[in-house]
Amino acid sequence: MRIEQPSFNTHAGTDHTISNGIDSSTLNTKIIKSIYRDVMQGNSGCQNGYANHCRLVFSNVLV
Amino acid sequence: MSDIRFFEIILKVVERCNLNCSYCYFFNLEDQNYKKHPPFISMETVRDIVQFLKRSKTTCPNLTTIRIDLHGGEPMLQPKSQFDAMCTIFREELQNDYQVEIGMQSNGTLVTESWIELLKKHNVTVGISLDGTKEINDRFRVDHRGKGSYDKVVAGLRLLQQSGIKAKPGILSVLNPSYDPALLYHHFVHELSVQFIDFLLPDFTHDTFATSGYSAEDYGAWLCKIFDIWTKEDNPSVQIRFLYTSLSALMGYIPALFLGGTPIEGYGAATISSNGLIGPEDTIRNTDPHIMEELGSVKNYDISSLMKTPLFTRLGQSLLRIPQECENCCWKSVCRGGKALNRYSRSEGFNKPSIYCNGLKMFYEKIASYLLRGGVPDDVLLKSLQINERDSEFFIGHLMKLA
Repeated sequence: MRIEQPSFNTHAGTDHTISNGIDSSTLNTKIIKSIYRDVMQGNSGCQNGYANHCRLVFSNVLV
Repeated sequence: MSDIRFFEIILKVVERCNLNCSYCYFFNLEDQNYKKHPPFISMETVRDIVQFLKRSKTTCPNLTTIRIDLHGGEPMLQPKSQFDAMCTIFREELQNDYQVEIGMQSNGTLVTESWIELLKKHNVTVGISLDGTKEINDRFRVDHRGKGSYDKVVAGLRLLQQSGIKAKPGILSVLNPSYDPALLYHHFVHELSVQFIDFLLPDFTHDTFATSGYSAEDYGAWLCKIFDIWTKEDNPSVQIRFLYTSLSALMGYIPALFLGGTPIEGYGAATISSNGLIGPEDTIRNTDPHIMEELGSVKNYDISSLMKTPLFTRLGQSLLRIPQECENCCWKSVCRGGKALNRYSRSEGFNKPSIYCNGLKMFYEKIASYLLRGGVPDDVLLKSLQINERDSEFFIGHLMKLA
């Protein structure tokens, strides 16, 4: 299933979601699903510290 | 006015270290200016930094988040009372203007219960530097008498893990192709129970890479092996940062810039020395021994005026520009030429592809193939990589063969 969507548009509330053209129901590894989920929750880029200076502290480790 | 939204300060709170790691970019490469700096940051400099950030509120209207990375040297050499006062000032003075994140990169050897209480009090996240097993770590990460640091580091790591501290400590590890990736993964994940790991490509430039004794392909093969190990286990609670962010970038989610430390829209970073001198991102210091002294004190700037200085303008322009040799590379939109320092040569500045170029190509090919197998549509990959329709069939076909 390929549905072109503007980035970060989602179809929440259905049995699957679509973000950035990726349909969650087609993903078949836990790691890829996790990345997808992080993005859906807004945990990407600067927001969770991934934009850190290369040597720096992990800020994405809140549990 | 500046469009900066997220600003990161690499703050040299202590410019001395109880370890003497042979590869340390701060103490054992070209820039030796730390010798002229005070060992510890002063409270006056801390207040100067607060004012620098407060001044930025009006010139950077979109600035929402300040990240302060307590860095060294070894930050835990700082007197605890001073650390407490410093963090109190940062939190209290800035909390009305910004979201403030504070992190610390430590060698882990000085962790105590009293440090943990302070870290908890000020909500400071911690990254620990560790290269691997005792045998591996103690080759390079030694004290000033040549004694390995592993036992103390792991004791510190265990204390942090058992402390109930809100943020689990991550590990930063300098990649060496001679280390067995399976052994490292097992040690970090299954023996030390660490979930957040990053393997850092060493800080070589085109002028120094030959001394590494390895080729770019050696590094690339190592990254591919650790990727296979990680994805075979398929445990998303274990995050290897470079691998995770590279996958994210190929899925179109994160502008890949930070992968190479290159500037991105809305993001700014600066290093502040213990004496209050402000300069560019920390590893750049080894491209020119005077670069960290060019701008003078943090007292003279706000973020907007800092970004407009000739030094930051020059660096920004040269780092944003993808090296000419990368123009026809299919990975250029995620790689952007690689990490800034690894692009550098005395003769051509930052205008060459990363010294790890051939290895990075192997790695990106590997993970793109993994994503296709994992159900990510090929048009998502093509869009992330900005590959045109004419080349798309060949490109996807090639990746599918690998898959």
